[in-house]
Amino acid sequence: METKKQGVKQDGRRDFLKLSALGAVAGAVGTTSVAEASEIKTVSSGDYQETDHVKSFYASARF
Amino acid sequence: MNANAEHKIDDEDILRAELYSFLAALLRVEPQDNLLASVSQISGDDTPIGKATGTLSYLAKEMDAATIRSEYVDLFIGVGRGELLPYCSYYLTGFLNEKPLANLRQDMASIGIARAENVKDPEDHIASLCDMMAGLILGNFGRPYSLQEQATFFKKHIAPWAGLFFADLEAAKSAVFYAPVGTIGRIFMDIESQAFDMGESR
Repeated sequence: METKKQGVKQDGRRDFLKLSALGAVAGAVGTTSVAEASEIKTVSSGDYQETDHVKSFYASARF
Repeated sequence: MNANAEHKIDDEDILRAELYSFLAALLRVEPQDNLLASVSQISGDDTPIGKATGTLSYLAKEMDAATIRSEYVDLFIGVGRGELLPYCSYYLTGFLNEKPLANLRQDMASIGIARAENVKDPEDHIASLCDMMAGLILGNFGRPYSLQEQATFFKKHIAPWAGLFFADLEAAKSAVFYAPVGTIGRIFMDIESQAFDMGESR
């Protein structure tokens, strides 16, 4: 029936998100988040950096 | 970052990312005065998340900041451990630093992210995971991740336990300010699960 089935699904999902009140608090919620430092950083080109800290963590966790 | 029209992020997804970042900000460390001041400015509507947010905002205004921080310490730090242990490994296995953390680190390596310097907690802390979801949505790690990729990550590292954690937070003995944080998180996790299921292609 629908040729744009994926589009219809996404519209349904977007409407659901809107109705569940994600919009209600957005403005101020957005501002609170901006100033805070994240616990996550990007490492260069996907190479996982085995720093000393990480090595000793793995050693202690006995992976 | 390129302003590539193909990678335009829907408003609803930006809101999701903001809510993840909001929860991360409240959960990663004791909330500082500026964060509490921002929270006290938020207003919510009549939906379940809106009401919990209104309660949280009221508490941010009315409670003493030192009391809120002390509550955070009781909940998450304590002496040796807090009332709650907000880690995926703990909820899935009963122990910290277990296989769920190893699995997460593998996926983080493929995405190209790692724990920031000076962060002592293992990466499977709820705040870190919320930061990761926000980053995947917004494209902070090289590119925006598709809904399917987000769903895979969410279902693997968050869905099995985060709703349970937030429900525990809602009901925690020490929780006053953090009780509505638990409510917001619990409802949001439910919304995320449902929304991902709606977005799935068959």
